[in-house]
Amino acid sequence: MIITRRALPRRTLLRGVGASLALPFLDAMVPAFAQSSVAPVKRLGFIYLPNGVAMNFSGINYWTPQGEGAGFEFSPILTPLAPYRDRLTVVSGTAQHQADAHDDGANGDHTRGTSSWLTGAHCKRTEGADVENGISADQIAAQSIGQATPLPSLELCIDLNFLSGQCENSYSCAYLNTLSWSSATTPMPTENNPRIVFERLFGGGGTTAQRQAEARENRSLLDSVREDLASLRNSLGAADRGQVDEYVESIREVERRIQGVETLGVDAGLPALERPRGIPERFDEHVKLMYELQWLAFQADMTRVVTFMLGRELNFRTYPEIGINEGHHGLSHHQDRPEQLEKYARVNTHQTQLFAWFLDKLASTREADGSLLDHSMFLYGAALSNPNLHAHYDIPLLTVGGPAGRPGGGRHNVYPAETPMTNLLLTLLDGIGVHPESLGDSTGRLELA
Amino acid sequence: MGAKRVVMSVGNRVEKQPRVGANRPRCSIVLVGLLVLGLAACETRDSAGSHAALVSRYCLDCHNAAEAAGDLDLEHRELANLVQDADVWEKVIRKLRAGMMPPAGEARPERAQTLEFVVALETDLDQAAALDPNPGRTEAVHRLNRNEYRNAVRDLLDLEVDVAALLPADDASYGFDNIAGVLKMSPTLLERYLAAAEKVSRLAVGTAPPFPDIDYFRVADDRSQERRLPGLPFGTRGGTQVSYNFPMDAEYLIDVELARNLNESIPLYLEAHDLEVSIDGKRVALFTLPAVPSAPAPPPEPVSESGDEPAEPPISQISTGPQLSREERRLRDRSDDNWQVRVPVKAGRREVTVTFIGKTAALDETTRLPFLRPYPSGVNIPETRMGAYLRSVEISGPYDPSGPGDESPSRQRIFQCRPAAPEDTAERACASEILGTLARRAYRRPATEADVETLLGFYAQGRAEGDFDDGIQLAIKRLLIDPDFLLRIEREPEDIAAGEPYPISGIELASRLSFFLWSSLPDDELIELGATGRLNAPAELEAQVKRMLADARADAFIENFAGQWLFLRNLDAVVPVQSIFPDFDDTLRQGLRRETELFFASIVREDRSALDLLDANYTFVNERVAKHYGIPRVKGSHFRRVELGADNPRRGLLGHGSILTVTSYPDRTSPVIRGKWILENLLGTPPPPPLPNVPALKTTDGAGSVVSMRERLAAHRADPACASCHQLMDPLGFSLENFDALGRWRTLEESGGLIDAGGALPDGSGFEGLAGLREALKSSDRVFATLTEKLMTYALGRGIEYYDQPTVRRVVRAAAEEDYRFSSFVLGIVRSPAFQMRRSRS
Repeated sequence: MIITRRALPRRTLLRGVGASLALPFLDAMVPAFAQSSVAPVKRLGFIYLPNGVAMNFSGINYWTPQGEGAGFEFSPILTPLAPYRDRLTVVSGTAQHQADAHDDGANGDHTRGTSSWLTGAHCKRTEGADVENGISADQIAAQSIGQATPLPSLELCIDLNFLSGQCENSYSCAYLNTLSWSSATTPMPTENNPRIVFERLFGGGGTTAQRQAEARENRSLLDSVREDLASLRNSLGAADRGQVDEYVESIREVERRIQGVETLGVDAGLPALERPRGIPERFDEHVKLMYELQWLAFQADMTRVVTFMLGRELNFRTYPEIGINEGHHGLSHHQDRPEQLEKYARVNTHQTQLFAWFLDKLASTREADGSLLDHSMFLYGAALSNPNLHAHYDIPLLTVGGPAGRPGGGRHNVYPAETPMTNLLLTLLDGIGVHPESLGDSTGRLELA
Repeated sequence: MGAKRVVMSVGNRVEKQPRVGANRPRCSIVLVGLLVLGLAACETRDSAGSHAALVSRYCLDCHNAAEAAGDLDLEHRELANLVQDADVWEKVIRKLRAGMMPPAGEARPERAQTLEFVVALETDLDQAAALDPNPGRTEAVHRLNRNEYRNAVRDLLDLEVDVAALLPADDASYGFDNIAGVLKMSPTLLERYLAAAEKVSRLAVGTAPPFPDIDYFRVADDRSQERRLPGLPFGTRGGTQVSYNFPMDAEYLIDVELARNLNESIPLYLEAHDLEVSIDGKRVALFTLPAVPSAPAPPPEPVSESGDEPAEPPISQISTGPQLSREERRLRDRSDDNWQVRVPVKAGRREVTVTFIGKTAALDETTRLPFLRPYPSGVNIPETRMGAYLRSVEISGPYDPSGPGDESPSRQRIFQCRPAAPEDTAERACASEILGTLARRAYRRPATEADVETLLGFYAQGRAEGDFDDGIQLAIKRLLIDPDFLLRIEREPEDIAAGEPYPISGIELASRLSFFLWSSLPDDELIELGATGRLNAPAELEAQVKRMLADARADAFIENFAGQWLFLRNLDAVVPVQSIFPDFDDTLRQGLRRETELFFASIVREDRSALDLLDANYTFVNERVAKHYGIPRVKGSHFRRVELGADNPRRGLLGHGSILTVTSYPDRTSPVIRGKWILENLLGTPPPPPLPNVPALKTTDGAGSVVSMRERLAAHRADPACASCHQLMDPLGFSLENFDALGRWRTLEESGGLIDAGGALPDGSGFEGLAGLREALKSSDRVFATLTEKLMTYALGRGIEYYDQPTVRRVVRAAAEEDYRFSSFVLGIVRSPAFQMRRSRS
């Protein structure tokens, strides 16, 4: 299984992929977490496009399909997904109300787009310790179905996030750097280095016995830290304990993950894996490698929940591999010029082609009675529709996955304007058997079929 | 409606309880003390009415209760009781100091009259603050960010680690990534801390890992490898050098890989290329990429077998170049498959150099523009790369370790003793000594018995399963995830009332200092001074600040503070469009960054005037940067100081290619971004955000000819919705239009027209070009205040609030008396209540 030197030409697809490394614990790890699951695994992924998509509100629209219901025609951006028509629902008309300014002034449309995409919360305008948003849909999933796997969720990104002056004034960069919030006050860090993602998933190497020994050691270390934290907590005023409580919470979660490792089975003797070496220089190679890791993680049932940001809002990446020399954010402010919209559509189409490549891998990997894709569901889209207007309504979204011919598949559904996007998120959560009453500003569920 | 009501009077009460008694007699301050200022304030008594009139006349048309333009309502504010609206008046002061209000073009008071009003406001607010300082409050718990973690590991264990491979990046606020409130803990991060602690402790102690580690070093695709690179030996070209920690005396495998072209194949070269691998200058391997004779047929003899160079190759080789059969092609593309060498290496930090042996004369293959980037970065772009280049170096190990070695600096730092005898008591005594020292340094305070007991517990656990070193290694791992290591904690005195200022402890002061100036742990000297309270003595504090700035650890201050304030970090993400800027490469990217770092460092280390930041008669260049700037007669890759004449455009930060590049688009300049950068980072007055749906920036007119940048942006400023900000940003940016998107000097813009570099300050006063901008900024009131605010944000790990402004002004005033020497800013901040005190939680 998985990436081997033989299966993949060393220097084509995975130019950033390197040393061979035995990972015998991989399959052995699965039963420890997942043997109780009888039904096909359900997974949820959220793929995020920065800076909106190529559309304006005066007739140029490269995203939204022509026609509604079952008879829709694929738009240019979505054409790469045509093979998955029968398990895809294009969702038009929903809005991210919490991305609007409300009383916070004109600033921050990009920031609030990201921060509210999966939370439906209006983030607090601050750069200080009072950073506050809402729990995100992926983390709700992570806190339920994610508990069956070693990693409850994976938060992935492409862009560097240590740059200066790339966040909107008066908003902490935390809001712009991640989609995932495990609570209203805890943003989840994202990772763009494939090697680090790989090591989080599969460790640095070693035998099962070695991993178990390290797990035991880590457990006793964390126990001891927990004691320290208790006394530290007591030495602080009540209002200063938040950070310490986060630390304690983190220990609890990491211990849960360690327990899984400690109960590993015997070595299963898997073929060698290629461990990614670092960050590929080309955007498409980088994105593919990150998708590849998600595919690996799903296949090994290391996690069932992922978020993946194909870029950060406001990023100025160019795409020379498809002949785009303008920076991404600048291009997205298309100013209604047809030629600029056409160029921007090429970026979005490129993104979708890469996504289709990922879906191909999932669809062609067998799992139980079907494929990985049969047991996975993705939300794909952006937080701005017309980026030139920073429009937070008619959000470009689609869901894809599940078995072919699933209810709602093969449709373009147009919902009444102002329908909160969070209604769709609740529907997606329902699909994996998680049923929160509400999420952020939700008002109900969306009927997909 | 010019006559809204302002309750008037300025410059009156200064007292301990400012909130009571707005109606006290005006000159009560005389009774309190502050005679001079008080009298000055009394003298302005008559002007109080005029101040109210000034506000009414010039401000209230927009900033009234109904409109509150810019969220600012000045109606019904009591000039007699400024302190109760200190936040509002600080906003007013900032805008007036920057000359931004009233907006250019509107009716304005005389500048002198405005300044008199501003000074009166400031004086009043500063007096109140002097009597009742508000030091503000950095959050109680302040997690180390990843740079601080790296430096702490270095200073604790004498170990350099690649922290980006260990920990995720930290979220920034207020422009810096060391803000206490937003540095959170999460399960993901804790996992990473655990893994980092495992790795760091093993590397430091040199205990055998359960499996060999693999590290991979990628050479940037756009690094030109035609010539010798900085730091590499003479007579070489291209390649890379890696400073690598060999954790044990053992064998290591070094695996190198050549670059490929777009088809992922190795180009054909007429000459053989030799790639040398060396460790600390000693060759450990030489790999040869054979030549491919140019004759199209018959297939050539492999060079390695014949041993002879082919006969005179033709000059041009690409179009008429060698032909290979499919099988030969396949073999050639795998030439470097087995370019690996397994060598024994002694533990310690060593330089691994992988570089090509230089050719004596310029080959045909390299006679072209010297700085063409080696790789075409996109489709349909001709292959510009013709030489052989290195793509990556991979080092794995240790294999067959023979022991931890005795040369590793980490072991020398850690093992201050060895057990006197191989028995329990002696071992434990030594472990206790080692761990006590490490705990003091790591926790930045005298170690307690409980600290050492905890660590000894893990020492014992590790010892039971291995040897003495294993015990120490496990204890260090425990120490590296201790909250007292990962978190900086400032505790309030137990009996303090809510919202009261109190002095922080000597130990806390030591940490504030070291994280400010070193981004790292305080050293033994600071801990000792802090623990005994001697650090608080002004003379000692000053001596320590000067010592710290002179120390090599202050490089972190330059890297992190200047790197973020000036956006130097963003250079990593800059990829100018290749077809427009074909000669931008990684060497230039790193060179431009280095120039500004060296320049900033010279201001700090030589304690020069901060004015030099804006205008200095020197900068630092190497050959690559000098060529970029058109500075003649600079040869070689090392940086050197060069003198700049009075009209040299490189004088001061705004002539640096680094800043000019990070404020450009990938394909052109942006006067808007440059103007915004100046407003935010030098004038401290960020413009309001852009409105959505901005009208088109036409690049061509109706007839299809290219429109000048100035004409394009004029459209923005003609639209009232855009004008309020673009009026501020564009004119500043225009004055830098003589620099292209990489900071090269130019006199013609893309449209072919002559550059018009006329610019203006936010107050509307005009100037010409960079020289004019420099002079204008040098006489601005805001630049030093902005520098102080940025420094304070970074020093305190929190945002700067209105109540910090009296401190900012005091720092700037004190600095003025010392010709704005850099240390006077740092010392001013370190001496301020904001740095030495903290407000208890209210």
